Amino acid sequence: MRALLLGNVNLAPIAGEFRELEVELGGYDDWLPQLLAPGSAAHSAEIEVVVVHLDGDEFFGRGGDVEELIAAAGAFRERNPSKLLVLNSFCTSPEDPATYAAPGEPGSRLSLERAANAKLLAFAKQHPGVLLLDLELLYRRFGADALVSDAFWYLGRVRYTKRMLRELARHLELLLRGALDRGRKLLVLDLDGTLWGGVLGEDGASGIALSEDGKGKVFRDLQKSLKALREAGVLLAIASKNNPDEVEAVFREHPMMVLSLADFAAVRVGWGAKDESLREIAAELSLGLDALVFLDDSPAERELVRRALPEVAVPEPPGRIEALPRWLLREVVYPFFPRWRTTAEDRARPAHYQARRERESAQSSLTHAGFLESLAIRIDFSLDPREHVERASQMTQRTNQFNVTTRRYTVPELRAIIGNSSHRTLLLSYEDRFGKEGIVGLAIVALETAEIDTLLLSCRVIGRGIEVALVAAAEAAARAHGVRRLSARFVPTGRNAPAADVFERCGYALVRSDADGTRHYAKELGA
Amino acid sequence: MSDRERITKLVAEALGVPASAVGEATTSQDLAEWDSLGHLRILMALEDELAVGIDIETAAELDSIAKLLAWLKTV
Repeated sequence: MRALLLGNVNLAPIAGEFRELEVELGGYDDWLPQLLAPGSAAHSAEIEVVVVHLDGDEFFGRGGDVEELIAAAGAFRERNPSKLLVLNSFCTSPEDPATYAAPGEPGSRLSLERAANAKLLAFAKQHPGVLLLDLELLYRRFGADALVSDAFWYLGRVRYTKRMLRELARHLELLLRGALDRGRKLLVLDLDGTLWGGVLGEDGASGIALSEDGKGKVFRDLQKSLKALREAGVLLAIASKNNPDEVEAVFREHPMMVLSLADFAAVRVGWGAKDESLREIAAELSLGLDALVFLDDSPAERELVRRALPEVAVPEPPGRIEALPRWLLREVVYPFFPRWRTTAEDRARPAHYQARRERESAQSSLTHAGFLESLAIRIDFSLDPREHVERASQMTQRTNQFNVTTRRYTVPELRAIIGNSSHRTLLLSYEDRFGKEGIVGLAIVALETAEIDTLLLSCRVIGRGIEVALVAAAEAAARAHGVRRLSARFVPTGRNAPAADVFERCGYALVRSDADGTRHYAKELGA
Repeated sequence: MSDRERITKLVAEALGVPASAVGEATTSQDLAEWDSLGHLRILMALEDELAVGIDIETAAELDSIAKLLAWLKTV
């Protein structure tokens, strides 16, 4: 963007401080003729932004009238409706002969300044293309002594120190970014060490730091800021390596929690890699990665995300816990989510995303789902695969954990089963983004007795939900042969607990239990 | 970094010229960029980076690297 910077003091040394704006400078104190003369540089077509920076001491010291400024600005706006015009509120020196005794007295510089600032703000509010840079914010943070230099003023009519010029340039760019809606959209948060102190998995829900005093208050205040941000339209998401149930419980039950799970547009809690979680979250919300800002207290996670997803902004948190709440505003919110004004659409945005999330994921994403999705699992079935009979036999011999009946088959026995129309044999092959696992699952359906004879999974792939797919495939094979009611059994061996609940999870009803612990199930398959 | 290195680097950056263009013998006469605005930029950088303030009477006289170095020893 090309900008023209005008002012009533010498601003030339600011030129090198801009990072995003291409800035040209007007002549010394020529802001009024620039605004008023239709042939001036400020009116030229290449200039997209005109910044009029006025020093309050100079302005009021020379009898400046804010009405005259507003009239000139208004006239300029009318002739240049497509340009942005940036003005600043005044922030005069605390030292002034007119105000040393009674700062608030009518006619004092301070009262002039306050009246002028109110008028400027009203003017900016009425004119969409007019922005107001609040100079006082800079003075409040750094103080006049750090921002104003008498030496440079008397040497060359430069009012400010280099630090002030740097901050001024940064604020101008942020203001413009906010006005042009070029901020980022989504703040992705880690949980442990970010939303609360401590480690949930180790300290437990009662041991995390989140309270009304000490370190716990730091995180509570941080959450309050995040809540306010969310209400102003910044989308929040969670990417955390944690046990989903524990996280859900903390959000539901911890009395000091400010944020609720409903405040987050997307949630990934599991054990998948964070870069994958971020990718998924961006896809789920239809956002580009360059719309994301990621906060995590772990240097390793930050480094991983910086390397894997350079488009994602990963701010470096402060070393001290107590600095977090202020850091969040200064270094995260202001730079990455700049706002000139908050619109009704901004406020409605989080609710909109939340509704979408509820529609799209009937089952909570706060499960292993995030981890599973991040694996990009692909499974394949082969039916009655004679060529893999050896592998199939081997699995029946070796698999102990996820095996419902633990029936061992030799190669000839299995060959006979595969060759016989009384059985259907299914082999499951598995692949994910880390590579191929090959054949890792087996199901044998006995058609005559309409029963699942064997169902097993290699321990390498337990806990990824693929057993559900294997059962479904067995059911489909049975149904294809006219089976309407499929039976199944779980025979406990002392080692196969991981498979104990697979049939319940797949909608089977318990029919009876034997004395040895064997449980018999059945499921109506329908037409 | 020695004072000499710091000052030549700072002056080159403030003036926007290559580091090689500034040496211990450089004076304001040698560089077109070292005009009154350039001089102000140097002083601003000194204050910002080295946290040393300069009074305006001395400031006007520091028109060479040698003088800047000599002055730096006094503060």
